[in-house]
Formats: sequence, structure tokens, C-alpha cells
Amino acid sequence: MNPARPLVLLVEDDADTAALYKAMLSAEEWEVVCCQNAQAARHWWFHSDKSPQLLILDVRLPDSNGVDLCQELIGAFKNGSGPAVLMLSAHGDPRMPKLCRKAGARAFLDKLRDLDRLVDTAKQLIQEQASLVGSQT
Amino acid sequence: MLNWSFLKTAAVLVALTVLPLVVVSFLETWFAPPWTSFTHWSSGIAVFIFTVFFALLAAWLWHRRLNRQVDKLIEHCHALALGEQDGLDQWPDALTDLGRLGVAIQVLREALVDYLSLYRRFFEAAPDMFLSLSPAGGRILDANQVFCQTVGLLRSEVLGQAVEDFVVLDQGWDTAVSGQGGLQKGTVSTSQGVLQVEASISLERGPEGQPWVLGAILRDVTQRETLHRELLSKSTALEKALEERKDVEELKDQFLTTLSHELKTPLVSLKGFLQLIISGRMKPGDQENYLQTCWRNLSKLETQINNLLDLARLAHAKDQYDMTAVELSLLVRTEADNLRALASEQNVSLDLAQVAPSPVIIKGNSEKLIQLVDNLLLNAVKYNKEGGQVEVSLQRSGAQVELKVTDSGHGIAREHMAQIFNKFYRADMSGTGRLEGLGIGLSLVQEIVQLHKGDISVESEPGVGTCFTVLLEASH
Repeated sequence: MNPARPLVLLVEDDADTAALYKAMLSAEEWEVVCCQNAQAARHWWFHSDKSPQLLILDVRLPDSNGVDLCQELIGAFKNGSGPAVLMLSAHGDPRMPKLCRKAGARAFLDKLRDLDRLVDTAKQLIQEQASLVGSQT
Repeated sequence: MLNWSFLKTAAVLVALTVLPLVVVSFLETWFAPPWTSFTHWSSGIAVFIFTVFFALLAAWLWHRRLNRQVDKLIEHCHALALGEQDGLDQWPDALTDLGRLGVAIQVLREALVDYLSLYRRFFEAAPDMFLSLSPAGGRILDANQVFCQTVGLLRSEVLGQAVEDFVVLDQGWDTAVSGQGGLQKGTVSTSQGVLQVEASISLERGPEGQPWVLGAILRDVTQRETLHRELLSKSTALEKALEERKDVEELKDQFLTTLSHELKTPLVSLKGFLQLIISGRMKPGDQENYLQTCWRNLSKLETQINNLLDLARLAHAKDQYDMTAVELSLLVRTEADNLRALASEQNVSLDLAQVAPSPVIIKGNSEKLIQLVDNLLLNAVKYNKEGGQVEVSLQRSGAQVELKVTDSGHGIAREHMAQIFNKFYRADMSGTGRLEGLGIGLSLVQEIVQLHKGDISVESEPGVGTCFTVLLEASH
């Protein structure tokens, strides 16, 4: 296994959407872990020995919401030392990008935007994260 | 009773009569002796005694005459005080000596009568009920016409009666008069019914500080109270409507969010996978899989849109559906068969043993009836437990057809039961805390039942299962 291969944690309840994103991200040679709800994501987060470079969270989850989950998972990290978070939503609620950024997300995208935009944003966030961690160490 | 004061009058008379006589006798004796003549002295004494006697008699008669006139005057004043009509109309004409005094009293009487009549007229003309009460507050001393008319009795029947027999105060007369008086609420019973009154009680303090009741003014506030109650109930209804309106607004907001999610989610997959296919960025052999996903999401989208349109159409255009004879037994079996694949995927068994083998015909719209059965069966399978069962029963009983769909799922919590047929209301039916769909499935079922003039009911026990019963009119 390539040790430099970035790890992405994807939390998305719709199986087809998750499969789509996984197909797109896997094509970039990234390792993708999919969780269908907040509980599964928490479980993986606290029990896995791996640290993802990027979290892609759906805002609307069956057992919680992505904003709360984002705060819960990366709230403990200081000065952006945690993984980057990209939040996705199909709500169309104009307040959502601001709410997500406030919760610690670095970027917010509408799910119906171009798929390439998603991949580009994810790439950019992983690079930023890598340089940030590099400069801190 | 004998009045001895006439003696004073007699003494004055005697003095006035005897004194000149004594002076004359003295002068006569001084200038014409012999002044010691017995005859002279005896005649003088006799004249004196005679004069004294007549003076006494005259004084006594004069006093008796005056006493008689004074008695008549007192008697007349008593009559005036008691308000007897005779006393008011006739003046004693035998007051010859006390005539001027009588005139003075007459003038005083007329002034008093005028003065009292002002209050009497005010008392009688008042639109409110006026009661004059005994100081202890128990008895009616006087009542005006309005009060007598209201209770439907004559004044003589009311006077002297206990006020409690006519007027009931909310806090009771004892409490009302022991306090500060003032405004009290109460009721007056009349032949027309019970009147709501507002009682203004006038009190003053007795010598030992105890309350003395003077009277009460009662105002009929029945109309005002009725209006007040009506206003209150209308304002409560308005508040309730406002709350409901807020709930509806909240539900609408929720619905818009849900609608956006439910319509956009299949669209995201559809658009995304199509983009992958079009751009050729896929592994060999993935295309068919991607197309199947696209098709599934397209169907999901179609169902959601159709359900929404159906619901709108069913709510506003029930008369535009063709109603023909539909055989339900076959319809139920066919729909159940269509669902077998999904049911076995979820390890749920479908039991149709209670579906009547013979045709059950009703008059209805076959397309909508398929939707009805499909929705009920799909819910029963979807929200069932792993390894659960769905029992379907279709029986004709008399003029009605009864369709029952019973599942062994998680059941519906009591707090959701009243609202599950409401449009856009989404309850947790899967027992996972997850709210699925647009919240229109059961509203659609209810609209279809109403289209067929039927009835639908639900029984559910959390952890045991749910049973939907649909009653439809059988066709002969």
C-alpha cells in the first residue's frame, strides 16, 4: 500500500450518492471510507487507528446533522491541525455555507454542482492540509 | 293625661284680675274709713275667691282646647311620617288657635314632600334595580319598579323579604357586606331565566365600626357577560387558529426542506453517474451498473413527483376520476406478488390466506385502488422487522368490503398516531429515528379512501406492529 495515499472519510446516507462520490474519489487514487450515518462515522473515528486528511460530510444525516458532527469530530483540534472538512448539501438553504464554516468546515458545496468541482475542491483541501501539517511539524 | 301647666296660666289671670281689685279696695279703705268693717273685708275676700275660681276654670278650659289642637297636629304629623295618603291630602281644619303654626308645618311638609319626591322619582326612573336594605343586610326595605318588574312581583310582595331570596352574590351576602361593599358579581332569578348582575353595595360604619348596609344597586350585565364570553371564546379560537397556522407554516418549511432533499438526492446520483458515463471516466464494465443506478433514481424521482401531483389532484378534483367496477381480490394478489421480491430481500413474509378467493367487486378507480393497496403493502414491508410478517385480509361483510394490512413492525408511537394521515407529516416508522420520504404516502391513501367514500383507521402498538383497516362500499 502506498503510505502517501490520502484517506478520505465520506459520511453520506444515500447509498447511490455515496457510490458516486466513492467512484470519483477513488479515481484520484485516494482511499475512501464510507459511513452511512453519524453513529457509524463516530464509531470509525474513535476506533480506527487511521487519520483521514479530508472529511466529506453530508449536512442532512438520518440520525444527526453534518454541522453538529463536524463540530464534534474536529472541535478538539486547534489552529486547523485537524483534517480538512468539506460539507455537502442539497438543501439550497442560503444560511448553510456560513453555518458550516462556523462549525469548522473549510468548504461548502451544493451537491448538484459539477462533479469536477467537488474533486477539485477536495484536491485543494488535501494539499492545503498537507502543507499546513508540514509547516507545523 | 292631665297637664297641670294650666295652673300657671290661671295664676297670671288671677294676678291680672285680683291686683286692680286689691288696689281699689286699699285706696277706698284709706280714704273712706272705717276700714276695719267686717262686711267690707268679707265681701273683698269673696270677690277674690270667686275671681280665683273663674280664673282657674278659664285657664283649664283654654289649655284643654289648645291640647286638643296640638293632639290633632301631632296626629297629622304622624300620618305624614307614615306616608298615609289621608295625611298627605287632608289638612286638619279645626286648628283655630294654632292656625299659623299649622301653616308653618304645612309649608315645611310641602318642602319635605318635594325633596323626597326628587329621590323617589330618581329611584323609580333608574334603569338599574335599586334596593334599600335593612342595616344588617337581610331584608328589603324598599325596591324600585325595575326590580319588582324584573322579579315579576308586586312591591308589597317584595318588601320585608330576605334579599338572598332574590339576589345571589357569587361570594355570598355575608362576605360581601362584611368587607368594603363595592362591586360584586351575582345573579337574579326571574321567570325569563337567570340574569347576570353587577351589584354595587353601599355600606356605612355603625357606632362600633360594624358595617351597616344601606342598599344595593343591581345592573343587568347578562348581555355584556354573554358578549364577553363570546369574545373570549372567539379570541381563544383565534389563538388556536394562529397556533395551527404556525404549525402549518412550520410543516410547510419542513416540507420544502424535505422536498428539496427528496427530489435533489436522486437527481445528484442521476446527474453524477451520467456525467461519468458521458465523460468516459469509468472502469470497463461499470457502465451497465451506472445506468441501472440512473434508472433506479429516475424511477424514484418519478414516483415522488407522481405522488405529489396525485395528492394535489385528489385534494381538489375528486370528481374527475372514472369510477368503474373493480375486482379487489385479484388486485390485492397482483400487488402483493409485485412486492414479493422486495419482501424476500428484507426477509419479510407476505400472508394472503385471508384474502377472499371469490371476486370482491367495488365501484372505484382501478389506478387509484392499485396505488392504495401498493402504498399500504409497501409500508408494511418497508417498516417491518427482519424476519417479520405482513398479513393481508380482504373480506366482504354485508354492504362493505374490509381490507386489513397488518405488519409485525416497530409500530407507531402514540404521539404520532393522530397525525400520520396529515400531509407532509413524517413519523419514525422504521424505529431507527430516521424520517423518510415526503410524508405524503398515508395522506395519499386517505385521499384515495375518501375518493371512494370509504373509511380508514389504524391501530398500532409500539414494538408489536400496526394494522391499517380500510372500509369500502361493496358493489352489488
